[in-house]
Amino acid sequence: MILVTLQDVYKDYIMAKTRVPVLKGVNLQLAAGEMACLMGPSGSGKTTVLNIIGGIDFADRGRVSVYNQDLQAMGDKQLSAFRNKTLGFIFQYFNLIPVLTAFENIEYPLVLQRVGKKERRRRVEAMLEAVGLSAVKNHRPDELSGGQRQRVAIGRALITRPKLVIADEPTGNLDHRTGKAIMELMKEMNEKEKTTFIFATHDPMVSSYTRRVLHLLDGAIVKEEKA
Amino acid sequence: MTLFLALRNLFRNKRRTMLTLTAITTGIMALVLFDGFVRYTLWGLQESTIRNGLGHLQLATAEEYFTTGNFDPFSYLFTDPEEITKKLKVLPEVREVIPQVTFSATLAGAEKSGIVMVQAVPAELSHSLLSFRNIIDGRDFTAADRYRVILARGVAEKIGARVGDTLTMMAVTRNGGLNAADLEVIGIASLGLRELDNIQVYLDLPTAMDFLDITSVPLLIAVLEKTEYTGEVQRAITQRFKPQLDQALVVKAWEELADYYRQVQEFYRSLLRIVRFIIMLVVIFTIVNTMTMAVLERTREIGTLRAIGTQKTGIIGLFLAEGFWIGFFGGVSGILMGLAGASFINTVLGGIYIPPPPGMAEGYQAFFEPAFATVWQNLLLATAVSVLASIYPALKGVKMKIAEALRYL
Repeated sequence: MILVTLQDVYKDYIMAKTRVPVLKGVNLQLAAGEMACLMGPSGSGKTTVLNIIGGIDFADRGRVSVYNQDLQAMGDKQLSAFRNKTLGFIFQYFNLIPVLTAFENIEYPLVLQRVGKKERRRRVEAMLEAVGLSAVKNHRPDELSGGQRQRVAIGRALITRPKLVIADEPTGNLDHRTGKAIMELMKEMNEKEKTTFIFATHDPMVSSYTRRVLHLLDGAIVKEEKA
Repeated sequence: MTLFLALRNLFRNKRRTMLTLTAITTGIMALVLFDGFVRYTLWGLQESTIRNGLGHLQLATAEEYFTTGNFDPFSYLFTDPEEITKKLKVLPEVREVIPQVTFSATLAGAEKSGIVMVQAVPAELSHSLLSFRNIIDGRDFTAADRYRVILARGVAEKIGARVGDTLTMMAVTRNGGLNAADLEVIGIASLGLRELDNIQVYLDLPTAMDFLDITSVPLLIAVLEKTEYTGEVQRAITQRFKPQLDQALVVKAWEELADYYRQVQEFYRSLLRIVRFIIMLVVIFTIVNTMTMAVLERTREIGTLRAIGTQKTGIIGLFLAEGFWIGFFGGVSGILMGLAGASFINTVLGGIYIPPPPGMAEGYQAFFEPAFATVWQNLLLATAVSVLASIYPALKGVKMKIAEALRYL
């Protein structure tokens, strides 16, 4: 089943009153259960592709379909619900809510879904167990190591059982060993839950965990490698 | 979750939150104290107005009495004032019903003379009606006093009269003739209000009736057990007693007759509105500043919350909730500080001396008596204004594009 389709996607940014083309006709299809990776130098458009797939940025031209939904046509309410239920996000800088504990950070997307308190507790406890953070569940992000923070972010991204997880430089702020452990965790989730992952990275270690690598250069996919 | 998250966010930048809370606390404390001061001052003025001869309710035979009665009391005499007195005294809220004659006269001393307003009530009842009248020289009336007079301080100064002097009073009687009588000054009184001090003199009622050649009075004054009963008793008289009477009856509450009190009340209310407005402006600017800073600092966090599915309304709600908490905590602490301050001033300092305000003859010791209702109004105001002031920064927060917000460092 095709989960993501990008067809002739163009995107420009306006920088200092100058139009700068960022994506120049990107075509991409991603099947359910895949673990794919976008690679390329800074400014090649990796993050923009992820943002467009994630419905947090919009293409100027072209068709964007995720889980059979036309993201370009959705309003804020619909799109927010879609992101909450269908997608999970993992960021380079973890982007955890600093005033919430590890437990509460993971719980937050379920609160948005109005899942009952008991059910939330059960699922969050299970997720904490899965990402190996049960012992520090009451710690706030500033009391956790980089690796632990990214595990919380993974827990938060996966707690709603999303169809697709979008991870932008997930190991970019971690040392090599911790980065590997994080990738192992995501691979395990991919295999166990059949969750689709798409990464943007510079790191060959990250791409080594995926079966498909898409090389971007100057806003276009120039090469595709399959394992 | 929104309220809970907002509460935690409040303590992220403790110093800034404390500064904002201090600004709101100070503003609300000032409001509570000022409100308490105004309330006490108006209460003092209300009671001195009532107990300086106005009473709580005035009963006359016609509406016109209240405009022209002092110059022509003879056209408005009751046919049977006793009947009304008896009926009114049945009400437990009514302490006393006092017959009164008020007329204008000329009072002449050895060298100077002046126009005065004469108020005459039975000597034995004068204490109920004139309990705020302060005899500063001489003595009050006894039941046996006839053709004796008590002068307000301003009148005594104007005429140059002292206790023991004999003055001549001239006024028009019922038949239209001019009557004159010698009166011995037995006391000089201070009334607190300058407008009364400069014009008022007091006689006993039998002397006034004899002098004017009348057998009835044009005015009955009801003094109640408490000022709060005024409306209730006025309604009872108008609805229950008036239809049973053979004579015409018009009832006026003290507030309708106390022009000076109403002016002062309006003055203080306007002042309170202005003070409240200024304080709320300060609160608005403080909150807008605090929230704008918070939005700026948490740009990436707003992006993250939006990315994981929080709607725009959720982000707005979060910042409004923060505004709510700041306003609520600031309001509560302002109220507590205000009440503590009022208690300190009232009990430890024994009030604060206020010099004579415009129109008053004497200064007074002011106490601070904040009303329960206005205290809660201030809390509501602080909270509502804080929430409203958070709208602009909150809207600014959701205007950002998610992708840009996530890139923000």
